[in-house]
Amino acid sequence: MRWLLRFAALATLLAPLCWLALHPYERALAVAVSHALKLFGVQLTLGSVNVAAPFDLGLFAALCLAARRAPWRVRLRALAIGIPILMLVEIFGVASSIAIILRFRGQPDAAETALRAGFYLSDTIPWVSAGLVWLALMGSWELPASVGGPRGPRASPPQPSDRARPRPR
Amino acid sequence: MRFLLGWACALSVVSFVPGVERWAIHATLLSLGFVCRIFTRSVLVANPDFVLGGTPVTISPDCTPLMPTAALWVAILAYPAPRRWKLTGLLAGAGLLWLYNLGRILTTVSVLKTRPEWFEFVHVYLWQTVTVIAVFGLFVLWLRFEPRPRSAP
Repeated sequence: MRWLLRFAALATLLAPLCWLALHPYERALAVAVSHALKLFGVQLTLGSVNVAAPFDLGLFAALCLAARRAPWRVRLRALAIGIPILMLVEIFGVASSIAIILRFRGQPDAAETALRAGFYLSDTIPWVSAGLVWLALMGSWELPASVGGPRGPRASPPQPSDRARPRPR
Repeated sequence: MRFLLGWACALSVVSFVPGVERWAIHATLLSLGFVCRIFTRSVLVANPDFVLGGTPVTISPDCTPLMPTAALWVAILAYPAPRRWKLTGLLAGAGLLWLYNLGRILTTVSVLKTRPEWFEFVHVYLWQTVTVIAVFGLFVLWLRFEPRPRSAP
């Protein structure tokens, strides 16, 4: 519970910073997405991209910093690895969404489904990307033993039975 | 990996079955109308629009609790836990997120009415962040209150 409160407090503190960075970030994201679209063979210049970024980065940072068991070294490593990954997810998530929508634009029976698929694919960015990257990088430290593996992999001395235990993802 | 597969399934369902989206919008409007009519008569529901006290808003798929519920459900289903506890989490989580979403929409409408210049920030960014925190919170609470098997005497 304390973890949740710390996470909520940190996310609230980071939200104004994300808000200040919002417009420059959306423009930079638009440039990056326009370049990524060329990989899909699409020539499109976007002015701005609105996918709740960089609020996803703020949430991810709050998740990492609110950690209870992971040492600071692990938290900072997660931030250093996770933030670039999330940026790539933003760029390629949006580029894939646009590519899907444009690919089926001319097909009346598929256009509506493609529009919905593109829309929901871009929804992955605000809803799950931060949590998923956090789980991958810090889940083994922060989640109960039944999911992410042992509680704090290096917090307790290894037990003989630990060898047989499956490693976290 | 289970979570990713589950999320891909959820995205496929909402993309290929438009009825899910339509149902979510319709049910959100019905619940909004029901809740608001308890307090005021100045409510008009005309799918997909909702007018409260003269302030009109359009309920889009993003205004429904569809994606937050999908994220919570996929997380619960991907987590190793007893089936009954999973079912409890799915039902309670969906109900709580539904109530939360009604509160979110009503607050947003009141912001639109009183401080329209704040609407964009509150609607697009603030509530989205708070909703992600709420989904995380529900998942963490579900984990925390998971009943442990009693040890034999």
